[in-house]
Amino acid sequence: VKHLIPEFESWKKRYPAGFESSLVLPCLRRIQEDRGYVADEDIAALVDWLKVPRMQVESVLSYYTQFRRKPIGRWHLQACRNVTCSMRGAETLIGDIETKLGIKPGETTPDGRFTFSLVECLGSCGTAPVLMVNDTYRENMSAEKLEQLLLELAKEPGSRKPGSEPNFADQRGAAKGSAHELGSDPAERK
Amino acid sequence: MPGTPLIMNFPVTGTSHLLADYLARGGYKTVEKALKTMSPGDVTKEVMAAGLLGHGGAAFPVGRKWSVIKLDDGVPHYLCCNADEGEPGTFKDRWILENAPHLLVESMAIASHALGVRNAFVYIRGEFDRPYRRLQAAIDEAYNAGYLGEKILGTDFALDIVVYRGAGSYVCGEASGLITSVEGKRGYPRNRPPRLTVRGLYQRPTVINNVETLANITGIIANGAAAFRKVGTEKSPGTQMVSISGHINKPGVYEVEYGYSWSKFLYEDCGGILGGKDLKCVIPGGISTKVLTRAEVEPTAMDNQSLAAAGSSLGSGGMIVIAEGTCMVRLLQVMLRFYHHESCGQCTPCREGMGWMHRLIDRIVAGNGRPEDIETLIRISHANDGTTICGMGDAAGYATVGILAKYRHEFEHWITHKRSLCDGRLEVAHA
Repeated sequence: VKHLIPEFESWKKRYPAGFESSLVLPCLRRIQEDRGYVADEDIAALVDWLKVPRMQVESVLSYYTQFRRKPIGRWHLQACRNVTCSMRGAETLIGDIETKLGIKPGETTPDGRFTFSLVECLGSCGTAPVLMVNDTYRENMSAEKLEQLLLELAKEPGSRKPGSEPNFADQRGAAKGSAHELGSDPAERK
Repeated sequence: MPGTPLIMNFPVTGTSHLLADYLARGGYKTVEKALKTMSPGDVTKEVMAAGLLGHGGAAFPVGRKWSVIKLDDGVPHYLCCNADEGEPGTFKDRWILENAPHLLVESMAIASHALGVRNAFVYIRGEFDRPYRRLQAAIDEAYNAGYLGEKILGTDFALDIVVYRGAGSYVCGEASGLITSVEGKRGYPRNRPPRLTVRGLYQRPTVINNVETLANITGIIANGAAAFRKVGTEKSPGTQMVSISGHINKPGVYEVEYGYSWSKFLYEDCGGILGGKDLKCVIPGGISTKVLTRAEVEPTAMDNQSLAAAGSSLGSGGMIVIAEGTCMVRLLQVMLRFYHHESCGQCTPCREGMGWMHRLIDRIVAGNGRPEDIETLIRISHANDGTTICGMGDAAGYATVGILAKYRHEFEHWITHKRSLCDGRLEVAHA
C-alpha cells in the first residue's frame, strides 16, 4: 500500500483542514482497486498514515457491503434482485448464472475466474434486469446476453486460483477496452 | 416530454455531457451572474420565491432549509449533494450525473455562493461507476477552465468540490447517515435535533440537497423565480424527474411537469402496460411510498398534494408499475428482504423488526404461515413508526401496511391454501 501514499497525499488539497478522517473510505476504495481486497497490512499502513483509530477502519470495512477482506475471482458478477429486476426476470437470470457457473451466490468458481453475488438495487431499474460485471453495468440482461457475456469473459486472460495474489490493476482497463462497455447511452457503445 | 422540461431540455448526444457543449448551451453564464450581480441573500431569496421543493423524497422547501444558514456566524459551512441514489425504483439522479454533470457543478457553485460554502461534496453511491467518471471528468474540466478552485471568474469566491464515493449502504442516502459516511465512519444516521443545518458535517452547519434539487438552481437563477413558477402547480412549482420501471412498455427517465395526468403519463408517454395487461397498482415514489391501486392512481395528478390526498407520496419519483397477475406477497417478500439487508443495526426496533418481518413473510411464502402473521406484520410496522433515528424503519412499515391494507386477501389466500393466488409470479409474459 506504500506506493499509494503519494496519491492519497494529493487528495488532501481539496479537503478542508482537519478532514483526515474523511479519507478512510476513499483510501480503502483505492487499496481495494489495487489489490482486489483489503489486507491486514493495508489496514495497519492506513492507520499509521492517517492517525485514525484502527477500530474506525475496521468498522468501516465491516459495515459497507462493497469492501472485501478476501480475494475474489477475476470477474465479479453481481446480480440485482430487488423489486424491478425481479419483476423483469432477475430470478431466472440468477438461476441461469448458477447453472452456467456451477456455483451459488457468494461462491467463486474453482478456477478463480468468477465470483457470483446477489445485490440489492443498483439504481438502474429502467434497464432491468441488471448485472454488474466488476465495475460495469450490463443492462437489459437476458439468457442470450448472459451466454454471450460469459463467452466474451472466457476469452479475457487472467485466470487465477482464489487465495493467490490477484492483479486487479488491469481490470478497469480491460472492461473499458472490450467492445461491450454498455451504458444507457448508445453513443458510448462504440 | 410531459409538460415543459427544465433539466432534460437538450438533446443527449455523445458529447452533450462535456464542457464545450455545456458552454454552447449557455453554461456557466448563470454562476457569473450570481457571483457578480447578486448577494448571497439575493440568491436564497430567489430560491425561496421560486418555491422549489426538495426532490430527494421529503419535498421540503429548499429556501427554508437554506435560510437557516447564518452567513455571519464565522464558522465554515458545507454543502453536500446527495447522489447516493439507492431507493429501489429510482434512477433519475443518474441521468443528471451522466448527461448534465456541468449543470450540477454550476448549480453547486451558485448554492455555495448563497450559503457561504468554501468546500462542497457530492456523495455518490459506490456502484455508480460511469456516473462517477462523468462527474469527476466534468469537475476536472471546471477546475481547468477556472469555474472551480481559487478566484472563480475573477472574483474572490473560491470553491472546492470533492466527489465522495460510498461503498454500498442504503442508509447513507439519509442525510445524517451521509454526513457520518463523509466523516469516514459507518454511515449511521444521527438523532435530530440539532438539525444538520445547525450542526452537520464535523459539527458545522451543513446543507444537504438532492442532485435534482440542486440541478434546478441554475435555471431558477438564470430565468428568475417567476419563470420557474409558471411551470407546475401553485403548491408544487417546477418539474419532477420520474424514473419509471417495472411492467411498462417504455421504462426510463421522464421529466414531468407537476400536475400532469397520471393516466396520460402511463398510457401515452410510457406506452402502456407491458404485454397489454391491465394495471394492478403503482408504487409512486420508490418502494418506501404506499402502493396505489389502479382506481386510486388513474384519476390523480402528478404532484405532491394530489398524491398526499390519495394517501401516498411522490417520494423520490421512482415509479414502479405493477401489472395485473403479479403476486403481492412475493413482492412484499422482496421488499422486506431488502429492508432487512439494509437496516444499519443502530436502533433496536428496526434491526430486530426488519429481520422479524422478513422471517414472517418467508414463512408465509414457504407455506407455513399462520393466520395471526398478518396482524403481527402490521403490529411490527406500527412499532417501528417514529421509534428509530432515521426514517427507514418507518418507511418499511408504511410500505408493508400499504400493501397489506389493499391486498390482504392475497396473504390470507397463501396462508390458508399454502400457495399464491397469482402463482407467485413477479414477471408478466410479454405479449
